[in-house]
Amino acid sequence: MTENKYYLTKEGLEKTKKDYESLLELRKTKTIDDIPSIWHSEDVNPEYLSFQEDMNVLEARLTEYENILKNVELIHLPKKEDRQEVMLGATVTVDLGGEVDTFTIVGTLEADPIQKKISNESPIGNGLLGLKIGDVVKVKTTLVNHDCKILNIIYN
Amino acid sequence: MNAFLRFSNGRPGLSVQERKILNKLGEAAKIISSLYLAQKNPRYRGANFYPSDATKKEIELAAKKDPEILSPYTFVERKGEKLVAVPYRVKFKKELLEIAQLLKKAAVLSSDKNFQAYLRARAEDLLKDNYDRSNILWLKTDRSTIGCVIGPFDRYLDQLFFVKRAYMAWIGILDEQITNEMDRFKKLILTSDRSFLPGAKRAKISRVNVRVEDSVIFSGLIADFLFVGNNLPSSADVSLIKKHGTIFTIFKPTHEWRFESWILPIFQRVFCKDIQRRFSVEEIKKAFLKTSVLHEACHSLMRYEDAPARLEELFPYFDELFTDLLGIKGCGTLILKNALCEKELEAITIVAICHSLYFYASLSVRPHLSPYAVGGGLILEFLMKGKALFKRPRGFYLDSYRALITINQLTSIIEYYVALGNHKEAEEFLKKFSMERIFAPFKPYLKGIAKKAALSLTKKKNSVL
Repeated sequence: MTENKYYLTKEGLEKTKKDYESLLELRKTKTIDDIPSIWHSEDVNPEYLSFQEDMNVLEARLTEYENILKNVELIHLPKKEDRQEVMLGATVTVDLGGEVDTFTIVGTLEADPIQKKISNESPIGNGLLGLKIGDVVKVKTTLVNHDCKILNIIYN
Repeated sequence: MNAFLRFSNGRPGLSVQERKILNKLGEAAKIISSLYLAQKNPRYRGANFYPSDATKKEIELAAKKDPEILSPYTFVERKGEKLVAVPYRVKFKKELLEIAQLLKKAAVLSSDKNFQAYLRARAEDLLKDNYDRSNILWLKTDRSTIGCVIGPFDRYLDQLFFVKRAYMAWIGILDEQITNEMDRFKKLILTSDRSFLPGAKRAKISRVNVRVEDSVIFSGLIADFLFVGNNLPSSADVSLIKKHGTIFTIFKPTHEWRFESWILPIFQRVFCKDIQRRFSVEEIKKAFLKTSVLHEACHSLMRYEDAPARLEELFPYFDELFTDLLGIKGCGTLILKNALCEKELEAITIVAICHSLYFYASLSVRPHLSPYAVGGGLILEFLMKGKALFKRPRGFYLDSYRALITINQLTSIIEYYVALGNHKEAEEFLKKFSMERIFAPFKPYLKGIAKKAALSLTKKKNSVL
């Protein structure tokens, strides 16, 4: 697994830890209480096979969480003098080709466009980092090309 | 002609009580079909809403003396020298009383309080020609297992003024899983706020709900038009939707039929192999579903309050096109947020082209689809002029990058007419485009599709009987 940095807000980190602990608890319960016997007559018990499959998925998810927690970088509120710039955690209002949109720039793990949380790795999230109010930037992909003007930046 | 279509007898797993409700609603829907046929007249732009010998000017003059002449719920009849308004509730009193009784009986059978309240209110409203109360209650039934719309709503039959409402009914069963998926997609589309043109009267819609149904019955206008989606209450009830919102419904059986009989065959015939190889059938099918959701959601994304009154009968020509364009344009923003991938947007653009050709090719059997066909024609014209869509030796090729630039340009042009343009300007704009010329290069690819589609619809009907 690649050792990427995972950017999380304080709430995001708490949630990740909580999810990880729930998975640990689930593993404990499964291995103590739910383990079926391997053999049933001469064939491998199908219940055991399904259990084994569940455990593999569970172990993979636990490894994933461990990797995140090992490489996590907390998104801090920037110093007052730096808050005029778009950084991770900023809530930005932009005019994007005639659409006025407000969203918060978060790490990919917390991205949820419906909740107005946009990944720092998305074309727009990445394009806005480091810019100030009034700046205009071209946000491009192979197909899309929009001028994006920053109307406001706030940090909560 | 029969304006009644049964797709199924209900879904497995429905309770005995729910099946009884479906029967009662089905009986009511059957009556609606006869009311619609009394309104329809394919030989006259004003259908049977106005006397066929009356001119638009004569009707407008009469409406100045009696506003009921241009009420959404009246027939206009000639009595001697005069034009008089006859309310639907008077003309169809016997039938409406019968429908109201059936709705009340269905309400008694239902254990869903919201649905019950709606059916009771609708039964009363049918006899009053005012649907506000039952519409507000209907908006609370967006997650009811059984869905039912019954009454006079869409105005597409009135091509003279785009005012009179045609009777329609649909009954369907909620598909919760696809509804949830499409609800997510709708939320993505509606997260940003569009800038409205300065000086225009904006109508902000308070709430937009989506519902995907396994349709059981279509009757009246919807059985004739075979909609794949519908958004109610419509722009005609703008003050109501500003306060209470809308529901847009996607109908699975017509959606599947239109995809299998039209969109897919058009895609496979019109586009060159390079384009065809890029997309699987499943990808095109998903794009078609998203296109329908985009279209209906965008009806609520941008509403200009006075557009129907300004543009009169030309309103649907601009409104339907504008929502299609906004949908594609909005997808560009979703790509920038990593909420949609570029291939999905390409598929959505391709489906929009296939859909334009569907509307044109169906005009011979469904002339009332003209607003959609004209809108589709404009999309094709701009794509071809912008060198985004061009013919290769074996079919058409789409340059998606150019296509999006062209669509953005067309969106700005159409927005002017929807936001500020007057009837004369809109009329002059549309006159510039000859649909026959625009669609001519595609005609050879469309041969025989209409016939096959009609056959498959008959097969679908017969499989239920």
